[in-house]
Amino acid sequence: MLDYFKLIGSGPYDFSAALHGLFGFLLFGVFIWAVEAVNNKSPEAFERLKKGSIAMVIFSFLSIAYGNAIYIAYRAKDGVQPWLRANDMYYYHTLGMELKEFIALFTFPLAVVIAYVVFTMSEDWFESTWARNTVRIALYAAILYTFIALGLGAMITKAKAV
Amino acid sequence: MSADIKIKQAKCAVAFLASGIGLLGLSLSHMLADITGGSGGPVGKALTFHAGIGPFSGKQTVGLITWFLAWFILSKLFSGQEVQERTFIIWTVILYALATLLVFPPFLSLL
Repeated sequence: MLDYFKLIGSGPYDFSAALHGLFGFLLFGVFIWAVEAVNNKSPEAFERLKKGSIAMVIFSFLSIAYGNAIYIAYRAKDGVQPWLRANDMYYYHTLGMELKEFIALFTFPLAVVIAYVVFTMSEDWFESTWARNTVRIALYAAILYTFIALGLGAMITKAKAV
Repeated sequence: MSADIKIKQAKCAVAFLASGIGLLGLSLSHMLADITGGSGGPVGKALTFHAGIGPFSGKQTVGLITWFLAWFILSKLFSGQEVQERTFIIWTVILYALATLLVFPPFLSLL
């Protein structure tokens, strides 16, 4: 039987941290999945893209919201940040967290704008090569930003979890 | 291509550009806080809207306000007009690249 506390942890912030990572991972998956929906020129794929773009906005918002919640624990006196400083691993914060916390935010405006373009173009989506190409580029950027944020988040968690 | 599609594309181009301006606002607020002493400096303290989150709370707020304000103003400016979408996207890419550079710690340490 799956041991919940071994998987998630039993600390006060472990559940929020797990949700932060989960929503980040789902966001990464939806961005990749959406590339297929953009490349596929069928009406069914466009309907999938509409739903996917809403999911992007929700997952990005939730990942950032839970990220903010656990950032309080990260910065606390007995949190990860002072621990990294005390253990001569402060570059995990100065290079890892300092970059991750902002790069992760970049995914939200990208997700909102992608959703906005998809719903604004709507029935004219297939007529506009510009819109499809622009959304494709935005998705590539979003995948890159999410990948960096996920990787750095995993690296810091590996050193010490909140 | 119909004028209706061109106007829809203009709305989308404006949305992209506004997001780039918002991210530049976010990264500039971070850069200003960083070069003036970090979280203990005057800008860092001014941006501390939430004690637990620290200056990061203010930086996010600045980014959000800049983004929505830019979107509102640009939408009014280009309402019902056709625009050079390519130019808007080139500027958006430049703004995203600049914002990424300004939050990249090794670059900030050079300032």
